[in-house]
Amino acid sequence: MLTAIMIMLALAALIFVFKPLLDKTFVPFDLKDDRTKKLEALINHKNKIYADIKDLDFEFGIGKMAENDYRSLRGECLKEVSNVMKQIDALQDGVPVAGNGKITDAYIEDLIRQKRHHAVSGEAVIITSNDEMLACSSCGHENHVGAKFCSECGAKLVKN
Amino acid sequence: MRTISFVLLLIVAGSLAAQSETAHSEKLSGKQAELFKSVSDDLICQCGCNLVLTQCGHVNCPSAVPMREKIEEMVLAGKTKQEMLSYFMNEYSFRGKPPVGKAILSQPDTKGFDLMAWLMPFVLFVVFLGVVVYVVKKISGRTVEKPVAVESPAEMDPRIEEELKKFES
Amino acid sequence: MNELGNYALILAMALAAFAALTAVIGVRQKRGDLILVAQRSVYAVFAMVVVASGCLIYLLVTSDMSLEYVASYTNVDLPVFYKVTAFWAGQSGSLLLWSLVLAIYSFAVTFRYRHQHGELMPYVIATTMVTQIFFLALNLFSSNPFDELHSVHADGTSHVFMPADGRGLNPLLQHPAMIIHPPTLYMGYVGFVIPFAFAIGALLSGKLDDHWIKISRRWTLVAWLFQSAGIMLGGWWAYVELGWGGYWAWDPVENASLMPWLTGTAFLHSVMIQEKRNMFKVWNVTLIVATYLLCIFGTFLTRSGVVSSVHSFAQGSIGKFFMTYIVIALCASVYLVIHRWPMLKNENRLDSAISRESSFLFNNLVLLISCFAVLWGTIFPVLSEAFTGEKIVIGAPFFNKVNVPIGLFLLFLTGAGPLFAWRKTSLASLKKAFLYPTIVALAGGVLIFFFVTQHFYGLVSFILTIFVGTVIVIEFIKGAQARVKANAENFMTALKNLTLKNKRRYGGYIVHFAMVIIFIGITGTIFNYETKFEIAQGQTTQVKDYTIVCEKIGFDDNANYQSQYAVLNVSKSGRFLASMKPEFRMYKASEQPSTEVALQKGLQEDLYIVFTGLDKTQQRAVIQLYINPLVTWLWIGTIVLVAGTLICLLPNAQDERTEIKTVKKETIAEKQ
Repeated sequence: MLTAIMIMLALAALIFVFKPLLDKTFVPFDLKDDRTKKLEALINHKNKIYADIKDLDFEFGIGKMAENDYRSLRGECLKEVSNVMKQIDALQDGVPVAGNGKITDAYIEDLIRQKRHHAVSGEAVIITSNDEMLACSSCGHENHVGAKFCSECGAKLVKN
Repeated sequence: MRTISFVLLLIVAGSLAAQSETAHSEKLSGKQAELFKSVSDDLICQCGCNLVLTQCGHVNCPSAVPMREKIEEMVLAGKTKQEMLSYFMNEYSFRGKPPVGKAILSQPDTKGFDLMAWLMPFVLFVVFLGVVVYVVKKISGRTVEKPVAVESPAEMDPRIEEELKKFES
Repeated sequence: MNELGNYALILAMALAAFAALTAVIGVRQKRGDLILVAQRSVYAVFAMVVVASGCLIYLLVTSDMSLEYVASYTNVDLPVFYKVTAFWAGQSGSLLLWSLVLAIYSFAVTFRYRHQHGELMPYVIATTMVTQIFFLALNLFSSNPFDELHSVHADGTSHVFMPADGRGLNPLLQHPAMIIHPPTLYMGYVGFVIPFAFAIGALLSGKLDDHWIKISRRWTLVAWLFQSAGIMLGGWWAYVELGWGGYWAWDPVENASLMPWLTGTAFLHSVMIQEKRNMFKVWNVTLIVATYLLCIFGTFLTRSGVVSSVHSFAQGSIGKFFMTYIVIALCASVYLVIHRWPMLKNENRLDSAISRESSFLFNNLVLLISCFAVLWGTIFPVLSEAFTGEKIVIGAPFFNKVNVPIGLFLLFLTGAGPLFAWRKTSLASLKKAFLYPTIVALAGGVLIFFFVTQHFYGLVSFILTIFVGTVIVIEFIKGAQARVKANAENFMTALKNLTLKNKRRYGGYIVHFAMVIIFIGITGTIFNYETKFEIAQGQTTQVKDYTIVCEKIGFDDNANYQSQYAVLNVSKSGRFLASMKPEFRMYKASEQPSTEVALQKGLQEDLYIVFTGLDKTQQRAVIQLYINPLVTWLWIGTIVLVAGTLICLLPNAQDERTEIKTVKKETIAEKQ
């Protein structure tokens, strides 16, 4: 009886642990492609600056910080954050992402679809949500419509 | 039978406690009680608990109880703190074992190697303080302090204000 | 059943080794399936340790006296729930509890981040599993709770021996606090393994970006919460159960729990500098490693018998295991830090020496010195004996003398720190910020000097508590007023929103406030009063404001113990307060005496009565009475501390957003 329980326990553990290998399922090592990771890092960076600005506002608001320090530090932060924002926009180029940095469900599903497609056919992933393209006025790079900044050179895109 | 033996045990334990009734009883005046407390604080109970005499919560402790009694006796006899401590170091014997010397005191000596016990935390404090002050001096302050032009709200991405409002820290 | 438990431990250890191995191979070869196997192994380790623990509980509850552990710590008549708590009454059970708690943490962390931090997590798994292997090995090779009792014959053969009844649970452990104190404290100790694992994971994988530090901070906060609560519960247990009228004796084991708490607290502060400014990376890693090693060292202190203590059970080879592990872990950590040195450089400079950042460095300094002083006092007897050959003991007076000034300085920083702004504080504003709290504190100090106490440390402590308390209250009021102005909220709503919109800042302030309350409680110690008297049935005695009438001296008997008790009706300044019943018990199985303290709690002071026995005539009860002012403030402070920490732990709105939501692996996994 005891031996039976012991064997069962070991078997159950082994089956549970090795199931992924037995299934021969394709399991990607990393779900996030480089672009997503980069985006995530940028959003993190942006949030960090926001936290900084919030602290500055807060501390200035209750009078712990001198006005000129506050102005200059906040100015620096704003400059940095708009820089980061430009990079984010350039990276998001064409992929629908809500303005608050939220990665929408639609985007995730899109990602899954592409991954799946990629996994099955081995084709390159092409991220498209809009067929129309827009040439950058400064470097000529083709950007998706909806992008605010050029993904190549970072210049502001203007519809003409 | 078992019950009776326990009743007996209980009574024996109880009467042991009775003999121990001295531990700082009303016999001591205010000044004497203070002396009693200060000596008790400086001695370690020998029952194995390694706690200060005032902290040994051991019921009818074979060591703490007689030690407290002895202290009270000596306080009443007008002994000084130093006399009492040296008695416990050099003469007091627990269960017939030889006196344990310095090991009966609750604080390290202030001379010889044991002085290190007292000094090290403060030496280290000074050293660390020096390091922190040095590090803060070294890494603080910007080399270039150029005034940064503040972007006017109009130039700023309107999303920044909006996102900032929602941001929690 | 004990074979099954033992077997489950062996399986758990094998699975833990397998998990560590596959995780590392998986990440090196970028094999998603192997990582999945490693994760599942972690879950299986958890299941196995649960099975083993279940076996031990079953054996304890059913009183299988053929087991050494069961026979040593329980007896048949012990109430069931103390049979369960006997799980952690002895060495091997405590170690199994360590394994169990670690398995719970590993499971939780692995599951929580199963789709995230692909390159970091495998190393985290490997680190937790190596720790797990160590503790399981201790159980299997050095101190096994499933060992049977053997009687050895003259010819060298032995057979299993089953005594009629066990030796019973130490009466001191038969207290409700002992149900939650050890598991809570272990949740703290073991919890520090998680931030350590992330630090090591980050060093190993080279993913030294913001992720690991953010995750580490959160888990450190969790461990810190449990550690704080565990320490305070331990104090509560000592207070109500040990019967000497105090809650902290600077016993080596208490010290062992305090040390990682101090370094953990230091880390929780300095981690913010790294989060915001990308600075002091090496320092933060050092603090985490130190905290982890102190946790292991604490367990070692408790278990090895190197330093004698009431908590410890000195036993055999276990000390060597611990020392070896600590040395290896230390060397590995140091090597990794040196190896990654270039990636750990400061990325920024401090904007100013007068800033929150530098105030945190001072806080770290003081916390570390305090930790060192405790460590130094704890191990000094060993050093002294090695150098001088003479045995010495270091008791509470030493720790008090050294740590009281440090503690008071720390209390000051608790109030001063929040007055500094991040990045750059203007001197003018600093002066202004210090002004009111200082005036209030000094005014309070004058009143206290004339009406309460002239005791130096007592006075300083009260002045500082008033100072810090005022600082924090002003911080809340100022913040709320700013909100009232900006958002047209009423004051109370503003106060609430202020806290919830700045959880970390204000949660932290609440914790600081809790420290103030706790310090008030500690300061009460200087007013402690104790006396001893005899009282017969029907007699009355007067102690300070208290009138005590002895209504009855009685006797009681049940399966577990026999007791003598007194019923004392206590009135204070003429008003009836309570009927108190201190007891003296004799436990049957362990044949050990114990006292049950009668305690009347109050905000102002506790009345603490111990029945130590009957006098020679058997007519009079010998009563030890303590009046302990302000002790209740400690327990109130603890509750506030827990609340503040929980507020810090609440997630922020953007935390949910920034994490690019992970996708179930199964949904994208396709048959190939």
